[in-house]
Amino acid sequence: MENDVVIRIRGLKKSYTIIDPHLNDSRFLFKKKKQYPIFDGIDLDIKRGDIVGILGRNGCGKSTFLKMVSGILEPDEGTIEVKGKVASILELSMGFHADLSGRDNIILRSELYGIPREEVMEHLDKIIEYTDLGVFIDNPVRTYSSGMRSRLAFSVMVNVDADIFLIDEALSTGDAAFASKASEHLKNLVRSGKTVLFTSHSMNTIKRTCTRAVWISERTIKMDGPADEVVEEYAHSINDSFEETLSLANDGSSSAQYRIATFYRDGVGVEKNREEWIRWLNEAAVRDHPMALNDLADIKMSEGDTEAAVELYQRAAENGSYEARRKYATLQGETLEEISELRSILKDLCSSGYPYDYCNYGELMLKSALKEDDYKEAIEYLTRASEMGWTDADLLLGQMYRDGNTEERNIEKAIVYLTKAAENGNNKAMFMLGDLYYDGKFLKKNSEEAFKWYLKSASVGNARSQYQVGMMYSSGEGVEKDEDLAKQWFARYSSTMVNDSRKKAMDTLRARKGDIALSNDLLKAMSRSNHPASMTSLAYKYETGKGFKKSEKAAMELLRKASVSGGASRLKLAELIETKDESGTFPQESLDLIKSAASYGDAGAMYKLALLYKDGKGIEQNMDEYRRYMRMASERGNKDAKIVVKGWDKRTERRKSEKKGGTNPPKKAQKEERNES
Amino acid sequence: MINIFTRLAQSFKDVRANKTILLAMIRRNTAGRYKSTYVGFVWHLLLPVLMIVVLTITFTYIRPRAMEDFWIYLSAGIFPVYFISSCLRGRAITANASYVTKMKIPREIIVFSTVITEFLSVVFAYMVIIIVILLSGQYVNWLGMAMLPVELFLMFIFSLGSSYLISTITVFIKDVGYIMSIVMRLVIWITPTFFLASEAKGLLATIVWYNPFTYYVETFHDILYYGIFPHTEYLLMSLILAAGMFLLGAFVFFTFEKKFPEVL
Repeated sequence: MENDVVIRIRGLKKSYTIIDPHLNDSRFLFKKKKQYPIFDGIDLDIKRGDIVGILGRNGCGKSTFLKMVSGILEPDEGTIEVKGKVASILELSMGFHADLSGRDNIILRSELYGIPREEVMEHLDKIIEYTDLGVFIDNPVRTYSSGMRSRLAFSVMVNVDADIFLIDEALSTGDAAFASKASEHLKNLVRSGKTVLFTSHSMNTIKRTCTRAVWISERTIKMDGPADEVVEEYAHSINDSFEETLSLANDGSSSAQYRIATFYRDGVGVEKNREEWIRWLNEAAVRDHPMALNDLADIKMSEGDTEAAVELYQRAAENGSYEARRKYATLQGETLEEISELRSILKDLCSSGYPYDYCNYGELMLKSALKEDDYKEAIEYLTRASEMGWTDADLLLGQMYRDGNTEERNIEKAIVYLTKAAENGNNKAMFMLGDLYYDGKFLKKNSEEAFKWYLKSASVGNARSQYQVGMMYSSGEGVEKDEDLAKQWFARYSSTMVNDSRKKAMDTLRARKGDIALSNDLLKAMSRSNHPASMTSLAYKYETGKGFKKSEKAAMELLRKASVSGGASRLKLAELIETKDESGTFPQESLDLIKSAASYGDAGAMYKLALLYKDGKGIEQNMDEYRRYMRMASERGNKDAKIVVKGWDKRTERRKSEKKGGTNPPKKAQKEERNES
Repeated sequence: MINIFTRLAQSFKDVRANKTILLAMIRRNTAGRYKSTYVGFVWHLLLPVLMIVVLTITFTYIRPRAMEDFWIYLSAGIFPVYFISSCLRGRAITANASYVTKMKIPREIIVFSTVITEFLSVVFAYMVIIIVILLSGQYVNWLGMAMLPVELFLMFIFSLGSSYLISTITVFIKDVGYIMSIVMRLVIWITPTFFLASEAKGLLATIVWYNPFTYYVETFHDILYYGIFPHTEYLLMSLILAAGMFLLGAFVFFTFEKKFPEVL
C-alpha cells in the first residue's frame, strides 16, 4: 500500500439473505429467502488524516460498510486492507450496565474496548470531566436520559487509542453543545494523524466536521469528494432526483407527490405527461396538500368547471394557501366584476407612464390572477416599473420568479430582481435573498452570501434576520465563529422583539404630556436596537435640538445607519449633507441618496429630485424628468407637489377650454378625483 | 473445512491478547448481578450456603432419607448439574447479540466469559461444601481430593464445548434454545443427584449411563461423599467426553461464527 493510504478497498461485493414471501418455491417450515445485493464492486482509498463522512439513505448500507471495514462482517468478494489499529464504535450506547454507576460503566466499557484497567483508572478523572455529568456520574445508568447516555459513551471513546476510528451515528444524539465538543474531538484526532470514518444523517454535521464525504447509493459509491460538495449534491438529489422523490411519493409523502406532479408538468427528469401530472396532483390533493389543491382548482377553472374549482380553492385555502384564499374569495363574493372594473381603472392610469402606476396594476394583476395570461400581463407591467427603477416592482418580480407560479421557476432572474430591490434598501428582499442562499434548495447553498444579506437586513432591524445572524455567528456558518457577536445579535433580536410594545408605550406617553423624558428614553432604546423609523426621528431631534442636546454629528450618524433601509432617512441625510456642504455645488452623495430614496417610493424625495431636475442643481437640467417626478410625488401624496401639479392641470384645462375643440382626457380627470379622495 | 487445531491455537492467542475484554465481560456478568442489593457480592457465597441449608432441611426433616449425610451427596451433584445445563441452554451468543454485531472482538470470548461466569458459582459452592466437610470432621481422602480440580477442569471443557455447539445452532435455529431448556429439565431427573446411580431400576438404570452428566456427577460423589479416589472409568469417560465435545463444539463454532453478525 502507498504510504498514506490506510484503508484500501477493491472490488468489494456483499449481499444479504433476506426473506421474500413472494418467492415461488414453497418449502414447509422454511422461510422463502433470496440473496439481496448491498454492494456491487466498491473501490475506495482512504488516506491518513481524513475525516470521512458516509452519506446515504436509510438501508443503503452505511452501517454494513463500516462493519466490513472493522472486520465484523466479511465481504463476499473483493478485499479490504486496513493499516493500523481499528476502533469501531458502532453503537454508542451498547453494553452499558443499567444498574452500575456511570463511573463503573466507564471502567467497564473502556475495558471492553481493550484498555487495561490501570490505564483506565489513570484517565478516569479526565473522562468524567469530559462527560460533564456532574454528580450524576455516581448514579446508576438506568436513571440517565438518552442524551446523558450518549455523552457518557462518547467520553469513553475519547480515551480509546487506535489509528482508525469507525463511528456509526456518533454525533446525532446529545445537545448541540456536546455535539460540537464531540466534533471538535474528532478534528483533534485527525490532527494527530488518526483517521475517522463516520456515518450521519445530519448533512450539517458532515459538512462541518468532515474533510471528505462518500455518498453510497444503489449498491455503489455515487460520489466521493470534498465534504461540502458531496453534501450539496446529496441534498440536491433528495430534492431533485425523480427516482428519490418518486419513492418518497409512493411512501405517501404529499409534498413529494406534489413535486412529482410538477416534474411531470415541466418535464424534469421525466417526459411531460399531463395525465400523470393530474394523477399525482390528485394523490397529493387527497392528502390535503394546499398547492396541489390549488393547482387542481386552476385546472378545473380553465376547463370551465367553476363549481369544482371553488370547492378545491376552499379546501386549499383551509389548508393554508393564501393564493387559493384570494381566488376563493374572488369567486365566492361575486367580486369578479368589481375586480375587472378595478383592473380597467388601474390599467387606464398606466397610460400616465409612471412606474408607480405600472407597479400598482402589475400587483393587482398578480394578486387577482386566474389565468396564465393574467400572470403574463402582471410580469409585463412589473417589468416596466422595474426598468424605471421602482423597488416594489423588483421585489414582486423577484418573488414571482422564485415561486415560479407562472412559468418555470427562474432562480437567476429572481436573484437579479431581489438583489436590485435589496440594494435599494428593501428589507424584505434582503432576507428573502438570505433565505434563498441559506436553504440551498433552489440554488447552490452559499452561507457566506446568505450571511451577507442576513447581516444587511439585520442591521436595518429585521428581527428574523437578527436571529439568523446570531445563529450563524454561533455556529460559525458562513462567517468566522464568534460567540460574542452571536450574543450581541441575539440581544438585538430580543430587543427588536420588544420594540413593538416600546412603540406603543412611547405613543401613549407622548399623548400624556409631561412624560417627554421617558418617551425620549424609549426612543433612544428603540434606535439603539436599529429600528429605522426611530433612528430617523431621533436624528431629527438631535438635528433640531428638540428635547436633546443639539448634535449634528449624532444626527448624521443615526441617519447613516437608518439610511440602509431606504426611504425617508435617506432624504433627511441628503438634506443634512447638503446643508453642511460648503463647496457651493450640490454634493453628489446627496444626489445619489435622493435618487435611491425616490426609487424606494419616498414622495418627499421625488419632490426634491423634481426640483433638482428643474434647477439643474448637481444634475443636468431636464424638464421632462422634472414633470415626471413632480407628478409621481403628487400621486404619492406630497402636498407641495400636489399644489404644483394642480397648478399645471388648471393651466392645461384653461388652455384646452380656450381652444375648445380639444378633447379633455378623462384619465387626468379621474386621477384628479383620486387625489382628492 | 477449517483446520480445527490451527484455529484453536489462533483462538488461544486471540483470547490471551484480549484478556482485558474477557475479564471485563466476566465482571460485567458478575458485578452487575447483585449490584442493587444491600450485601452485594456476599450473595455469591450466601446463595450456595442457603441452598445447602434448604436441601438439608428438606431431606432430613420433610422427606427423610436413610442415607447418612445425604446433604453432601445432594450438593456435590446438584451444582455441577445446574452448571452444565445452563451452559447447554445455548443462549451465550443470542443473549449478547450486540457484542457480535457491533464490536470487533474474538467471538469465542463471549461464550468463554458466560461459561466462566457460571463456572464461578460451582467453584464458590464447592468451596462452601469443602469448608463445611472439614469443619464437621468428615473423612477426607486427600488423594481423591487432589483429583477435584482436574475433574472440575474436565467438566469446564465439556461445558465449554457444548456451549460452543448449542449456542452456534441457536443462532441459526432459535427454536433449539427452547427445546434445550426442556431437554435439560429431563436430564436433571435422569442424573444421579436425588437418587443413587446404583439404586436406579428399570429403564432409568440403563439410560442413566448414557447420560454424560452422570460420569462427572459420580466422580464428584466419589470424591466428596464416599471419600475415595474416583473410579478410573468415570475419570476416563470424563476425559473422553470433554475432549470429544470440545473438538466438536469448537469445530462447529469456528466454522459458522463468520455468519453470526449477518444472522443476528
